Amino acid sequence: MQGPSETPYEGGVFQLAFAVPEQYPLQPPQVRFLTKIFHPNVHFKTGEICLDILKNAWSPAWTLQSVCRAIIALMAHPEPDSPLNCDSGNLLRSGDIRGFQSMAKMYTRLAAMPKKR
Amino acid sequence: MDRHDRSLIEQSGNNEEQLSPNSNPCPICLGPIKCEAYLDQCFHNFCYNCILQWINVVSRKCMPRPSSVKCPLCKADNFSVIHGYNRGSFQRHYINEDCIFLSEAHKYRSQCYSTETGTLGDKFDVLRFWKLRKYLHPNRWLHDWLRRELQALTLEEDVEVIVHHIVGSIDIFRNRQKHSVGAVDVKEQFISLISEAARPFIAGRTERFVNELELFLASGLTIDAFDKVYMQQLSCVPEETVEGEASEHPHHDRHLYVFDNDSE
Repeated sequence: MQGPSETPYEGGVFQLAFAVPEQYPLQPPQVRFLTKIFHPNVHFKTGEICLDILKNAWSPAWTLQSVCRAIIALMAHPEPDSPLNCDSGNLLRSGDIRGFQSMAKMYTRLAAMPKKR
Repeated sequence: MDRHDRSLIEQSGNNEEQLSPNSNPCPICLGPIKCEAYLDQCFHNFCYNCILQWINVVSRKCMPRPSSVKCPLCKADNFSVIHGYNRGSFQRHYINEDCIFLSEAHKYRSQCYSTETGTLGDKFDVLRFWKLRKYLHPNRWLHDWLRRELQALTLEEDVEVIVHHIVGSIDIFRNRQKHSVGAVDVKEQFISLISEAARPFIAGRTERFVNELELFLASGLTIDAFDKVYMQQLSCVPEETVEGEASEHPHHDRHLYVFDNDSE
């Protein structure tokens, strides 16, 4: 998945792992980031994503494609009030947008971009 | 002419089939809609089985059963599903009247499917069943037993088609075995044949289902007797009594502990 433009994730390519349960689409798929990402709603170590539609707001009319769209939307619009990554959430909540963006950009470069030779 | 006409009809039929999945698929299974059903407030349509399964998933999460369900597409509250319409008539299925057909026995059985069988195989002497070729005898209770198991597994009331399908597969198996004496892998043949028949309907629970079917056939018991032995063996006491006992036991325990302390 490509990082959305005009965000600190722009230019990065993020790998995700989808686990589709047998009961899908009655049960939501389990999705997590494999690529490291600095985002308030993504666990920094496990890649777990805090997104309501992957939990209790799931609807069987969602598809894997619409889940991807929702994740891209989450990347562009973080929800600092339900943080899985506290450092990232705190930066945003205290209004340090620039600090958050530079951290996120740094990790995008380190983890989500091909290394320069 | 006849043949020509028929081929025309077939062609137009094919075209419709090709078009319908794209033009208006069921939002849940994404396939062409089977047994079209509408929600009563927002009029979004789904396969009857798909929307019913979703309602069951949602209702299981809250007690008592909710009287409405949110549409998977627009989140509007809906109170019933309208289906089976034909010109002037239709059927209506209210959200809170689901699963009336599920008895206590159904609930017990669906619990059984999520527990280990333990030593029931020995109890019902499954080995003997295969060795003495008991599987050749018809079982009078099979049909009713299958219906109950499949209702408990699929949470659907009308499972007659699946029952017939599986009974048919068992008959095929019996006929084959009657004519082939001394086949070695009889049990494997049985398992693969029945699994194949059941898998499209119960997916991941197929293996266990075939296991249970084997136990039931091997037991040679009526449904009630089978349940009784099953319950004894797994000592699955209904939850209420367990709670009742739990609240009484601590008293006994405390007395015993005091007694123990004194004696030491």
